[in-house]
Amino acid sequence: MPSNAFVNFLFLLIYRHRVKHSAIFIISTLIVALFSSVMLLSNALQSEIGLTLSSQPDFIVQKMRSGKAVDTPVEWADEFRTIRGVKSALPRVFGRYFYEPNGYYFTIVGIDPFDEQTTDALEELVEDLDVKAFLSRDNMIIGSGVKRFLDQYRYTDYFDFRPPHGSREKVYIYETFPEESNIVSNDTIIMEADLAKRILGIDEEMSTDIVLYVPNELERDNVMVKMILMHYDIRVIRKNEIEKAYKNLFNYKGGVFLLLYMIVLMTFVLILYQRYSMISSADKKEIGILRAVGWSIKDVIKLKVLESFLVALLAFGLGLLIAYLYVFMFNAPMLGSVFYGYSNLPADIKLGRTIDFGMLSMLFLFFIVPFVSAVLVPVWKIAVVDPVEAMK
Amino acid sequence: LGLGLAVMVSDVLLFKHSSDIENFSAVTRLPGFSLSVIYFEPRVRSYRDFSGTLYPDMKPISYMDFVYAE
Repeated sequence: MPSNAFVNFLFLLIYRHRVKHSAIFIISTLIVALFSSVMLLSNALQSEIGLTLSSQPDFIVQKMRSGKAVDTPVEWADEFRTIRGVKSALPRVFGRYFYEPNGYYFTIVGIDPFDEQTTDALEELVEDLDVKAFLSRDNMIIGSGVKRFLDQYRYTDYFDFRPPHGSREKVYIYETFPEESNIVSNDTIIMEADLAKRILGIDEEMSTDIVLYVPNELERDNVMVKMILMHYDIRVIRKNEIEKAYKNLFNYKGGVFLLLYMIVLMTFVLILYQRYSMISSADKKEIGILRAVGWSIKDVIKLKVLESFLVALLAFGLGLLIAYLYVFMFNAPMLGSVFYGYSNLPADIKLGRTIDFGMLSMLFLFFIVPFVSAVLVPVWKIAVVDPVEAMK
Repeated sequence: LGLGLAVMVSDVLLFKHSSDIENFSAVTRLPGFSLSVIYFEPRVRSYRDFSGTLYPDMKPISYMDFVYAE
């Protein structure tokens, strides 16, 4: 445990060298802030994606033709329901509606208002939802991004969709999804399945695909084989394939991550290089004096290492705080667009607060260890020379 | 700085996660984000339509492939 005098001297030294430290402190803070921002944002998105995966069906069945997914007959759902182990099989309707004038599109999802899971979740999601009133005419519930877009074009009460066969479908805006769900609902419009089919040009007896729930894990392989035996032209996507695909989204092979790694690495190499070459004659003299007044090599090294460690620690703390404010308070302007995209409806996304402390400790180690070790070698080189030589 | 970090940690620990995202995906049964991507890119990333599998052609560049790796 260092004595009070040692600690006093350490802080005096940092204060004396404040100009020398300030440049490194600013650069280090910026590096930590940038890198932490990406990590925090990526972690928060990963955590949000986990929430969307929990309620996914166990199987998705798509009809394939010429290597393309095409509309699937609704009656297949009844056939799949007869397979032992299948709890429910539901046709799903969704697709993109292209708004020609400015090239934006909405994602239309058709729901079955008589499905218990759907209505329960919808009632929790939309306050004061009256299913009867919702079904009484052609209504839709829209995401905040769609709402902003429609307001801009003065569609405050309804919107006229133009289905592929040329007619018009006037659909009233019933409610808007809460902004907290923007990350998944921003461009989405939810309406009754038959209405969605008319707008998307899907035949009445068809659906986009079919989803199946098979609660018993042991029966899933068998169910999959039976489905393939029933229809040879299908593609079955399992829930774990989707989970795997989404987990892999956040590995470190992505171009942006690679780019940021390279920037961080290059800057760090520069800092290290600067640190190596920064032992000036004044520093040599200072170490020489300390050695001459009786400090051991170990004390000198300890002092210099602690000096660098404190600067690095403060830079790390400040960088992390800046990153946290940037990501969670200001919703990561610019950097967020890299992750969400910016080519369709603009999204105002609020992320849930999530910090992966394992990731933070890894970042801390990767930042502090090279920082401190860069000082260790030159200080040791000078500390071992004769004090008289060092002061010359 | 210490106070700021303490506030940050307590903000994370005391943050109450909204169930809106779970409820929304229970309604739509669609995974993933509402990505703001151009029309040629998949909106639901894991459901590619495999259109280029049998008839390879020049595929449009998918911007999000640069951001997310699969």
